[in-house]
Amino acid sequence: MTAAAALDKTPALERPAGFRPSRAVREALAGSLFATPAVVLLLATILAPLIALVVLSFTDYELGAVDVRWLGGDNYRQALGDPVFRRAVSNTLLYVALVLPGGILLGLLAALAVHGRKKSRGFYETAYFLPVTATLIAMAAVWQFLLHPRIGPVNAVLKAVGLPEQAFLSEPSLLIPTLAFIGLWNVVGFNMVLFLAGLSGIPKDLYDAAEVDGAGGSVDRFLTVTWPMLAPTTLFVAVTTSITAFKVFDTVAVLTGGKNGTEVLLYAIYLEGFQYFKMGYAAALTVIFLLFLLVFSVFQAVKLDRRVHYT
Amino acid sequence: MRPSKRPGDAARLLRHALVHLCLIAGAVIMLMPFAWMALTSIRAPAEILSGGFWPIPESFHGFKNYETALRIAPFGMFMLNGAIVCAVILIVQLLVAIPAAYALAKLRFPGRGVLFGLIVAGLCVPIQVPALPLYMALAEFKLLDGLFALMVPFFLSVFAIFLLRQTFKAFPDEIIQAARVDGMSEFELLWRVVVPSAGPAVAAFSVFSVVAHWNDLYWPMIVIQRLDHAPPPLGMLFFAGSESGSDFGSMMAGAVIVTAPLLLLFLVARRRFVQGITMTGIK
Amino acid sequence: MPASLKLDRISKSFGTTKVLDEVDVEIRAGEFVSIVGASGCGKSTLLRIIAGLETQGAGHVRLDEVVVDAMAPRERNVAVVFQNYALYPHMTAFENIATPLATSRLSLYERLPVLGRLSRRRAKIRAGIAADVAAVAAQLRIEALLDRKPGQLSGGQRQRVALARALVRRPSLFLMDEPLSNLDAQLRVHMREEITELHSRLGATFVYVTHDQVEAMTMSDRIVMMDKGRVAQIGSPSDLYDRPATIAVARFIGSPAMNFLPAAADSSGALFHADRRLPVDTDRAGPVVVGLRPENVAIGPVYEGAALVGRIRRVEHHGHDRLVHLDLQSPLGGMLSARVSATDALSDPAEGCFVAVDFTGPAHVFDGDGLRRTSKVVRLGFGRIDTAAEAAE
Repeated sequence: MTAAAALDKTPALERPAGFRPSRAVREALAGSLFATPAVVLLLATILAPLIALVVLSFTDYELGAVDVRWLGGDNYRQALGDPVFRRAVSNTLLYVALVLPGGILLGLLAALAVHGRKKSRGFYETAYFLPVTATLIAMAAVWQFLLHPRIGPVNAVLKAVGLPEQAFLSEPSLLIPTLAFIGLWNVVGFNMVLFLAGLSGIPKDLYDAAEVDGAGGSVDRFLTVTWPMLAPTTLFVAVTTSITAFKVFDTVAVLTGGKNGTEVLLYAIYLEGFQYFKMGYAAALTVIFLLFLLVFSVFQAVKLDRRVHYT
Repeated sequence: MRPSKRPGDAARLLRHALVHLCLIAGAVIMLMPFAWMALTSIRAPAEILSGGFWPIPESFHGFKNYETALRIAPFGMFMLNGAIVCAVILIVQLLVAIPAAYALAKLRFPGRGVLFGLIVAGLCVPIQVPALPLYMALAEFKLLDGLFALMVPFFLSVFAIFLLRQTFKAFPDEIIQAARVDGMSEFELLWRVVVPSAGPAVAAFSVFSVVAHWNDLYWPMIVIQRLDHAPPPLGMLFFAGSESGSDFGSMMAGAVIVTAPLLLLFLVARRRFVQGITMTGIK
Repeated sequence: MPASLKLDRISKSFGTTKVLDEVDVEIRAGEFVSIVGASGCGKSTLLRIIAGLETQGAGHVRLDEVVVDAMAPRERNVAVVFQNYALYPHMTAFENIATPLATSRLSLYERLPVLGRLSRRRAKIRAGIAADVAAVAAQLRIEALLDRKPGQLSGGQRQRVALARALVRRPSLFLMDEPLSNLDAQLRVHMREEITELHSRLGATFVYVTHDQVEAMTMSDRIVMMDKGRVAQIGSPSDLYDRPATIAVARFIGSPAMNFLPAAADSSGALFHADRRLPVDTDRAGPVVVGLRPENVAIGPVYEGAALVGRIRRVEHHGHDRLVHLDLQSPLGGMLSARVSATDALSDPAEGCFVAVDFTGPAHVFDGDGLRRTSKVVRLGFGRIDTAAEAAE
């Protein structure tokens, strides 16, 4: 916005003919010009929608409705009191709580194990990263088949080894954990790659120093060098993992359709806004969703602070 | 390495084997869905319905499953839609982000600080947030249910601007000064001097962008009603939810078709993928 | 107690490249020994083998006559100061210095982040560690820096913290791997003194790896000069300077560098450089290289029968003396530099002048394999600059 406005103010064009604008003016002109498409799109696709969203969240607007009433905070009050929405929030948080520690721990373990491999590293990197690139919605369909109560191979294995078969995709208490397992399967390779990058950034002479200092055992090496040196990476992984987990949608859409008490935040928003067209209410839910994301992002700002001491 | 801890060769081998064992167990879990997807896609329906976990199909039924999949759902069209959408989004993203990132990195202009602040803030606003107002606006202009609607929210990638700005910032000022002294315009300077040096960052972002938009489901699910504009994930969702829901053989065939392009791309360009991920972490 | 160190035919290969080849070194308890050599000569690998950070391919390391090949670095009771200091960036200076004490005095379980606090004796041991750290910090005058992290310290301060971490557990052997190479020139000279002082105060054995011959010459009791994975020479700084065993040592030690002239010895051992008799004899016939330190080259007026005549190309002023670079007037060409006192009568040799060259000190003669041969300077003395000769040219 400001850049575009500044462009108008730039007096260069009004100068008498033959005048060559100063270096600084030309630079400002070029800069404003270069930034203009981005500024326009930023306004049109992020800022204006955001403002509209917040305004909308205080109204009872429904798509196609003729008159709109100002509700004040009613939408928010309704959301907080709505058992379905509350379940969506608690389901989402449970999902995050399952995926976050598992995603960090498994990603770290995989990275530590793969880091020392030489010949087989490429294979493991590929294997663990494959789920990250695969279209999640298609893989969700595959999981649906794998976990099928009657013809799925997972239950066939359980039966073969004498364990009770499980209704992974219809037993309510198993639904969120099942979704979380698929979420983990999807995110571990991503985290592993981040941790691998972090590991290769640790100076080798620190390990030498630890060895000379008597901290050469594997536990000591990990506690004295690896873990503290990975702290910035770990924080970054934690933030991205929680945000990814918080946005869980695809697997829910395929596997449960939000039924059987598996509402999650985004799916609830999708239903309210784009199936029932209760725009005002969905906008309020979206604002709440955004607030959650902002909380996670605050940790990232903290991370930037900590970086300073590491150089 | 450490002499005192230098375990006997047998102990070292055992430890080595143990690590590999764990890694392989993990790899099996990671790869199992892919293997089962491929195997089931060539299995006969009767065999699938009988359950079991024997991996090798008794008879090859691949042609039938793939044929059914293609007959029920126009996967070719989904893929074409996906390719068009990904390509146009990427091109526009780069055309918009590169000059903006350069301006933010190397040029002084009024409002630079504010703009950069907004870009950083934009990093934590996913598509799901502006989705509602965008949908309403597109509905207003009768643009829903088309490829343009699929692409327009992604033309601006704040992530691209952020990533490229970091890259351009590291570009030596001396070279820029020298090019200016040589009489290059800023436009030429950007595209002929600065951008060629940012190849790895551009490639990494491209991979990132294509993967994200090929796989995106949320936004297509909102704006696309008619199948002939659906990208692959939406097509897959439709397919999984349709009457063929119990025909797992052709459903898996559909899944193979949808996932194959990115998997192949990944196997070919693994380094770029990994680089793309790592760059997001190095801020 | 300072330890003696004995390296017994140490060899090491990385893949097919042999980096160390039967290295034999004996270091007495309390000695300050430098290991010098060009980069890639194997000196750092040798240090890492002594420390136990690397395993030798063959041979033995003995500390106080005990073979320590199977011991971890910690058990060898050696301390290492690394080139980049290798301070733990997430720990304060205090914690860095305390680490080696904590690992030796606390059990693994007591060192664990949360669980460790359950130990009853932990607090008491921690207090003891703090006292020891404070004592070392005082010794190196870094008390005020203990709360800072390495990122907040200057290069010199990090150096001191690294020294303190090495010092704090009173090792019997100090290993230093180019510890001054990251400091600016002035600070380097200062730290040189400080480390030498530290050595005499502690009386510990120091092994100091450097590529800087000035550091080696000024700090050490003895120098081990390495060349291509082998020991080229071991001796006191003056041994290496005055009697270099090989041409590689002669090239490496001394600044400004030694001059070299190709020559041949006849059957009587008399040396000739392009048919001109040099004032040096050796013991055998054959092609040789004659090495001359610039301070052993004298220049004077050209006189009849002068063995060598040079034309002054450039004069470098070094304050107390001058370095005169000459182009030799010989069919073989070549250059020579002479170090001339600024107070000398001929203190202002002009560029372009022709001068006679004489040898005023020991000449070093090396055979075709680069090994030293006995030699003797047979004739000394020079005349004065002959301006007539210049005019005639």
